[in-house]
Amino acid sequence: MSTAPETGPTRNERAGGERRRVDVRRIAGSVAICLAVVHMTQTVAGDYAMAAVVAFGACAAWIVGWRKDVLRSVRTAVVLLVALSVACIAATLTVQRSQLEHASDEEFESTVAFAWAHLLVKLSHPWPRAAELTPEQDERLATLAAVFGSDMADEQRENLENSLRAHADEERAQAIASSQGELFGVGYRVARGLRLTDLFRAWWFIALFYLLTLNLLFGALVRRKPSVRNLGFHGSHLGLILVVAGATVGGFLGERGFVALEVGEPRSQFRADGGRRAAPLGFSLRLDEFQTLYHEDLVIETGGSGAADPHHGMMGRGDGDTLTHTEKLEEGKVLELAPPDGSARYQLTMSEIRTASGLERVRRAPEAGEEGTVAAQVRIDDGEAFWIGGPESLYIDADNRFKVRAVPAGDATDGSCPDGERLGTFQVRLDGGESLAIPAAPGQTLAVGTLRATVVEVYPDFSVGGGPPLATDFPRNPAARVQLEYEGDPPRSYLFFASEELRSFTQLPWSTVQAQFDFDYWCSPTTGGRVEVRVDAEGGATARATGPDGVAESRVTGGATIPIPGTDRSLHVLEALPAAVEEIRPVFVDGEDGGALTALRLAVDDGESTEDHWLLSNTMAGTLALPEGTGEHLRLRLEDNRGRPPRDWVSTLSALEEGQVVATGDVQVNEPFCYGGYCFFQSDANPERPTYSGLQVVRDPSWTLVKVGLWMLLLGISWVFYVQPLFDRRGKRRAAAAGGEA
Amino acid sequence: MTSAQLHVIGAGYFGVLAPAYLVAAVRRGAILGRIANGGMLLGSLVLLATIYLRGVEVDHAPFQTLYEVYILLALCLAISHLLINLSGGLDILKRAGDALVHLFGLLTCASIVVVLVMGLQAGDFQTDLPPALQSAWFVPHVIVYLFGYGSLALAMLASAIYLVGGRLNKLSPEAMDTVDRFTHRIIALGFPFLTAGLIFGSLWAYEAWANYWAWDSKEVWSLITWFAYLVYMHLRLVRGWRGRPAAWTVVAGGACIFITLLLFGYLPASITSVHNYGP
Repeated sequence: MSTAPETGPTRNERAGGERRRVDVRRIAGSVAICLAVVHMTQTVAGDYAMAAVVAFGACAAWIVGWRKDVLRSVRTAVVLLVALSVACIAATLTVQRSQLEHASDEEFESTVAFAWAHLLVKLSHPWPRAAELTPEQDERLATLAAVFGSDMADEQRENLENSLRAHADEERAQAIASSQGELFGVGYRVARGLRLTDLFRAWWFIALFYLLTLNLLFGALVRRKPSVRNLGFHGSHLGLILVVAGATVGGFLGERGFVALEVGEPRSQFRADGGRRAAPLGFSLRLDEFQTLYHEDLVIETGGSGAADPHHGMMGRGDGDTLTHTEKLEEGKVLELAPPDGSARYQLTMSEIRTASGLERVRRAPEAGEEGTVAAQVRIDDGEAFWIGGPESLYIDADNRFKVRAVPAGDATDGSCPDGERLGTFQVRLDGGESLAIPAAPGQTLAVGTLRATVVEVYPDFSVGGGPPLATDFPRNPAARVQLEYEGDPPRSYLFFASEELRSFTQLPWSTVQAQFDFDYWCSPTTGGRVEVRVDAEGGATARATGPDGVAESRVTGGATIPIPGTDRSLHVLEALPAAVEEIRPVFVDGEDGGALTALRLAVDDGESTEDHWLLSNTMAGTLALPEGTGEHLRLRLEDNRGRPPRDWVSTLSALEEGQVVATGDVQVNEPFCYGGYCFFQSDANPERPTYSGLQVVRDPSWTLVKVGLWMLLLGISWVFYVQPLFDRRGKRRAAAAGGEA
Repeated sequence: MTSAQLHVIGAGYFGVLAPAYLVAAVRRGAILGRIANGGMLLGSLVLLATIYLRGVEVDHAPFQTLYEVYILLALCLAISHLLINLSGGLDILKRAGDALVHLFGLLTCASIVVVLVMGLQAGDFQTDLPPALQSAWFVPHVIVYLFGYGSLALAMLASAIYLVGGRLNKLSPEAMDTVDRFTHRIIALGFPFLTAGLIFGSLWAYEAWANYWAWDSKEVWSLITWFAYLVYMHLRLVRGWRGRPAAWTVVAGGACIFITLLLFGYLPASITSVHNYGP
């Protein structure tokens, strides 16, 4: 710069004395620019708040930067605009090229043509296009609205319309890209010629960096004399030179690549240069073990005024007033819990943490003070043995063909199960253990305390997705619409599913009643039947099998086998108890590989007694409701959060030379493992392939140099701005003192 | 008390502090101004407590989501103002008149309120820390960067006073000169922090992504930001730039910070960035 820079005072003098008037043109121009920028930014960035900020910035710049010399401002604006456009194009192209690293030039050219055509289409039509739904889509949305409410249907409608709009834009862009291919092609080749597609490796870009370094070396370092005061100046500039030198050395001597490992398979090569070349490691690398770690939490839910939102309730998320708090798992950790209303106090101890493969239900004789219910362990043919009775009295066998239940002797059974009939029950189970059931048929009503449940409709085959809704009678995905009403609140409709995957969503937070709802629905074909085990108070039991050809009955004493009349199947009764207590406990497998689920043994002390509970992550048995008398609820849930991104991945690696293990180590994100000049970094994992681990491989002999350079730069700059002023101040004081003496 | 409640209280507190500065500026109330300057300390403590509570609630250092970053940025603005005051920076500005000191406080408070309100709009959803963020570098990297950004944003406010004051002929040449030196003083405070953030990030990137510099779009933007202040420092020292050109460089640096920190999530290039943790 040859002319002296403008300074404040001169500017002031020049403008001084002039009276400022309200300039209508300027205000109108500002408002117009403001609106245009809001509109443009909203189109490109899709955010009004951001657009407003940009617009006000532009407006302020317009007011402050107004010049009499219009020609000069226009010229500056054009230069700025061109420079910015080139920078934007280069940046975009470079990013896109790095995304499509393996694409050929032709493929990339067409991608770029499409991207620019797409941008043109969006800029030429910034307001939303019209979107017409098909009659089928409209009909499906109407069904959705009837079942889930209009909010959800509206959301779905918006999603559908947006995807239609996006599709229309893409089609137009495709048309432009293919018709104007030649034009885009020329533009692309010019950009490639200028190395704009790989900006940061372009020779002229790198050359600029080296020029800067040379400038530092000769322009700055050589000129200034080293001294303690100037330590920071030399340190920071030298540091920067070291970083550039290190990067250069690393570029020539270093290697960088990727290695894909499978557990147990040693690799002695890795893919270098973006996968184009196989490079030798000089030793073998073996993945011994690969682990995915999850965020394991004990979730504690409290509160809830009972204003259950139908959608949230249905999805099992809890209502808006519920407070959740999470605790990390740690053996021996003690938690003090009190519901907000102060009705109870609990002390929870995480007494044991293990892995388990699943849950099992067992029945045992009741201890003193416990009340049991009738139960029997049965098996049909060679099938799995299971317990029936107690709260779980309704079962069907694996083929949906037999309904099995255990009943106390003397209970009336209607025995009605007409051939080909579809049967369903809707059951409300309170946390106290009490449970009530009604046939799942429209109009059936059930009342528990102040809660009323009315079955509105039963859909044997409910479908929301692609297929036609409510299409068949076959119970593939049975669902029931049930109206729940609580204490004079307006009734709300809920949808309950019978399938195992959807069933866990049917737990609702309720204000005073912690209730679990179960809907079951099954088909009883002509060959089906019914099996009952009746147990009397003395422990004697009678098993009864009803088949198409009649009834067979037998006394059970220490096990019995009863052929079911009219079928080739038979019922085995292994054990029958007049009073039994159900217990759910995890299934532990011996050895280290104990299963994929986390089991937590929680000792719950309510001040009077301590009770042990096993919680198994991400299952229904992972939830525990603590009883207390008032309106608040308190619930514990164990989550291992497999649906969320993992906490970390751990690859246990061994380096082998001539078949011998010479080094082992773990690699986690942020914690590389180094051997033989190479460092390995955790970089890829695949949930579908638990034995695979992808690692980045780096050999960079100059990393230490770069590290030293970076630290020198930081310490140097800190010295310049924080320490050097102290020297200067002392110097000034001395000069002042000397001046005073003089 | 939850962090969200304390967040609102903090926004309200600075919303009250701002008019106090305004009254001090208009009425030439030196004592009121001094009280307000001290009030920054209380506000900082409120924001510090907010961050602490948020940390307890999410169970990790609360610097991950944009919401959390907004609160930290507000705290850094307040602490920068405090540090500028403690290191005698405001005494420099005082030579140009008490009103300017109060105007600077007013602008600081207004910025804090804006940042906190933007935080309220961002929504306080919480997520787990992704594996790459589980590092000892996480806290120092974010804190030094945000402090650098906070103080350099205040430098931009000082530059704005310079530019607007000059344009409106409200400042004497001596006062303009003082504001210019004041701006430089703030940048001298914040620039080493900006450098530290960049370098910590580089050291961390080597551990997490196997590369200390990968021309990732956030890396490029933070380098551009660093260069803006580097240019300011060098032109000031070597070419003797003062006044308007220097002030515009500081404004450009502020714009770069705005893009790097807040606009970044909206840039098309950010989709492929390893720095993209969602807006």
